[in-house]
Amino acid sequence: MLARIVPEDPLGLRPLVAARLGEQALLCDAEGVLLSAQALCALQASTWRGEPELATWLESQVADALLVAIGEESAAPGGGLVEALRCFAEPLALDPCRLAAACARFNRLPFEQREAFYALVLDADGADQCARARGLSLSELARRARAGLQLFRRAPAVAHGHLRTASAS
Amino acid sequence: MGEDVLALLLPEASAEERSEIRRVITALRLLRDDARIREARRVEPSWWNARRELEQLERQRCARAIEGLLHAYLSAVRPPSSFLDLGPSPMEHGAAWRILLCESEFGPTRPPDPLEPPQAVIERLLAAVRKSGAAPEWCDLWSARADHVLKAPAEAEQRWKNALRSARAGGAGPQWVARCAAGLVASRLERFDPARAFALHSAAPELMALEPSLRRALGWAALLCGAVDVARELLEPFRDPRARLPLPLAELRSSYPEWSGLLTGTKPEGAPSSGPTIRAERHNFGALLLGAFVRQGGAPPRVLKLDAAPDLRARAQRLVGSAPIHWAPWDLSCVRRLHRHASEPGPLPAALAGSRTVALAQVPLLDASGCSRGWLQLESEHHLLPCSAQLEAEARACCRALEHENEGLVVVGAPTPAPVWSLYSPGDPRHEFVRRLFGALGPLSGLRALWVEPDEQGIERVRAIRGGPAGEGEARSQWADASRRFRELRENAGYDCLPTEPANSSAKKGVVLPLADARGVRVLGVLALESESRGILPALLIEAARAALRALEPLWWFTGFRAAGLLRDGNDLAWEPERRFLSTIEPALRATADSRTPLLLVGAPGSGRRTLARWLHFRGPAAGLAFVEGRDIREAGTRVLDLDGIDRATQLELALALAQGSRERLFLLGSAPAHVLRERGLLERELERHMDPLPLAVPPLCDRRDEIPALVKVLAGNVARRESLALADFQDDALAHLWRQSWRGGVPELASLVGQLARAHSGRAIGPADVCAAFRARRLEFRERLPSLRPRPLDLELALATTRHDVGSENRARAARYLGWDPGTLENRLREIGPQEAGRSAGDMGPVPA
Repeated sequence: MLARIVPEDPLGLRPLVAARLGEQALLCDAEGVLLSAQALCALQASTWRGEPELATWLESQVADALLVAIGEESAAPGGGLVEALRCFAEPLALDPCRLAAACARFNRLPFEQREAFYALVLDADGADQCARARGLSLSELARRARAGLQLFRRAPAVAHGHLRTASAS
Repeated sequence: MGEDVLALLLPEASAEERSEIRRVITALRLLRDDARIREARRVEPSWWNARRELEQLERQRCARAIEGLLHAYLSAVRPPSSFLDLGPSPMEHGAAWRILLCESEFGPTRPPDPLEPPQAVIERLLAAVRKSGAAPEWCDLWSARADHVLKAPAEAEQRWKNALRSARAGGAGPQWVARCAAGLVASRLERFDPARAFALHSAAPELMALEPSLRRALGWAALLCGAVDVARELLEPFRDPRARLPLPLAELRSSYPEWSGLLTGTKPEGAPSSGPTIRAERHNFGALLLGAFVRQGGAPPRVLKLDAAPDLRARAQRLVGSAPIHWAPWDLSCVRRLHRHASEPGPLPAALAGSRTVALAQVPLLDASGCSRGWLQLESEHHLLPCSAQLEAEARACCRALEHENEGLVVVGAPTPAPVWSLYSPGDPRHEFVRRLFGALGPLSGLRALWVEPDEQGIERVRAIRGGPAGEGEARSQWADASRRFRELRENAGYDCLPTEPANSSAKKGVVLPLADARGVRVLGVLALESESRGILPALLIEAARAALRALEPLWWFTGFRAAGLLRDGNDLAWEPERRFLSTIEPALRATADSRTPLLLVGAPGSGRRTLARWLHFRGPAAGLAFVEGRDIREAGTRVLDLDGIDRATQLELALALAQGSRERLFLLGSAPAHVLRERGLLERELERHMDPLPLAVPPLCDRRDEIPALVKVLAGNVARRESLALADFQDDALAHLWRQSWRGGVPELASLVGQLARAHSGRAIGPADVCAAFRARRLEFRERLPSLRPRPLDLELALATTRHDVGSENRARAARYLGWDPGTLENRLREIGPQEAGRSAGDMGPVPA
């Protein structure tokens, strides 16, 4: 509905969403976050009394929308992210659902691991340069980036399966 | 994607796997670039999707609000001994109700009824959660938390097991599983079973990273089982001294100070458990042994009850039966805890289970007069003991059981309060002092308390009696004796607590405790405590009485001041010391009350300067002498003069009298500080020289708005009493209207308007419309609201202070009504002003610099 009502981006939220995703090194469906942010702006508009400044207020709405999106994807991977990935993953013979689930887990990683993955793997800035820029050893940088990469290699193990015996005792 | 990076990160991956990873990375880069492109694709808009999204957002907000409320209500009913960690509150209570009641269609439709128990509200909230279609694991978690708080520990443990099972079966995320595991650990700790709680440690290492409360609870379990190193590692991150620490652990910290570094946190506030009571059986406390023993003079203690592990029973009976006389804890007056340290080789002293006992608690069984007649003993193989309140409840239960057996030694723990005879006249504010004083002493079975103080002529009189003989006549016969003791006390400096002779033949021993003023200079009254039957007075009772007297000293002054006003001219005074102005200047008042130096009271006419002068007279050494206003030729203890009405010659005459050592306490009323008055020619330098250089400033009524509601009620009451009218009832909105007016004429203006309303609406309710009409009739300016654009921080502070709940918390919705604003505006202004400004406004009132 919002996409019909607001076909453009009069509030200039899209660049804010993109910047936030980059800063936070997150893998999300930017379109979904944008729509959430627009909806939040509409809902919260009545509470804005001119302060803080509009740009700051919009940024806070985008930040909230991003949290909502990450929470939703973490609770139930699928939906918007799967749709967004379908057009990128299917031509590469990848399963969009599995990729979306891995993205949701990636977004829950600590920031330092996400950021290392972004820089080293996605931006391919060069290992030595990345390590130097962050004041890290190459092995530490690799350890962090590997934590992200592992998520896209295999399905995560069921971490709490063996609790049954203990709790029933 | 350079091969070198893949080789660095995945050296062990096969070529096939690397190929797949490269494709994944390509897809992720496309996703990232998609976000960066400004004019990216737009998803084909779908009406259905859009509506669903909006609805989802609304549901999420509603769920968060309900979560906030559940958190608030469960926190309110959670006993201090509970180990359940509810985590941080997701939303403030008021904001959550606002969302549910005003902005959401999914929440419960009505707010809590005034006396609705929190349990009922929790049930309604849980029903609303289920109705709003929240995730099943979310519903399960909060429902289990509610059961944990409201049901018995065994049921709570079963509930958590079920929740854990269904979270796993339903494929809930690991976070939910971790929360359920934390609940299970907490419920096992509440069953005093740290060993089974600690068993979950090895089973759930990865869950601890997801749920800090699980880690903390497992750390406690490890500590209680004696695995100190594991506990140290687990509890390492929890150093916040403000975190909630369950009561049993807080008490353990006191009795085992070596562990204070591991048991950080604050003891929770609140009353002991209101939930289901635990049966006094040892397994309910995870104990080895639970016994109750009664002393029998020189013989070994009698076993009233012994619930012990089968292999310990005979040993315990043998030990008690052969115990020497000195073995019983005679000096036990409160709960005693003993813990065996790892380094200690032998068993704990008095442990009936020998070396198996790791921790031990002894609780006195107190008789009616508070004397210890026996004790309850609980021994455990671990360090987790019930909290003192729980142990004392068990001891009381033992006492009740004894009474049923017609055991004469011990009586029921909570007897009916003893009757009170008060000799103050009806409506005397000093009833409140006596009520609070006797209330602080507890039920007083078998004891008598007498309150003695001087009357208006300075003659010592018994003013109230609690307990004692059944007939009033017999009570009166003791008064002379108590009064005699009061006289003796007043004449003896350096007293503290005197043993006394019995007031009548049935009493054996007693004490007289004085109420001294804060400086310890004057004896204001005495409290006599006497035992009706046998036994000495318990030390705890004497200590409680002494503490009550210390705490109630200010109340004695305030109620006495109001009583003096009623006696003088039939008018009560609105004197509430906890109000902002009076509490701010209390130190200054204390400092000046005993002085004889002339003092300038600065303030506008009608601001209450004379009342303040009367209070200083009442508190001062000249209280027994006359209080005179003006140049009356009578000799006065205290004299009040308005500088506007006295000429230069009179001032010089006064200065001369002061120079010659006049004993009168002089208060001068001025409308400005001394130097301004001098410049205006209203104050002579000769007189100023004799005055206290620090005058007291009385702010105008509009800067003391928090006093207005009480003032209105007292003024209306005075009119009704004077003119024999039925009391009018001011509705809260009417008080709010009166609250926000500027009252440039001060208290007399308010009194005049209130008098008019009280006469016109005698015996009826006065609403906001009646107040508006009264203003219109007098052609007075009426303020619908205080300015909300750049408001004075003081107004906000006073609004919040006036409208506080009885328990002390803020009522912002009501405060906004008093200001004439909507609640959102108040919230915004409070945010803008911040604590610094609010603090600065506190300095607006105070002594005026000379």
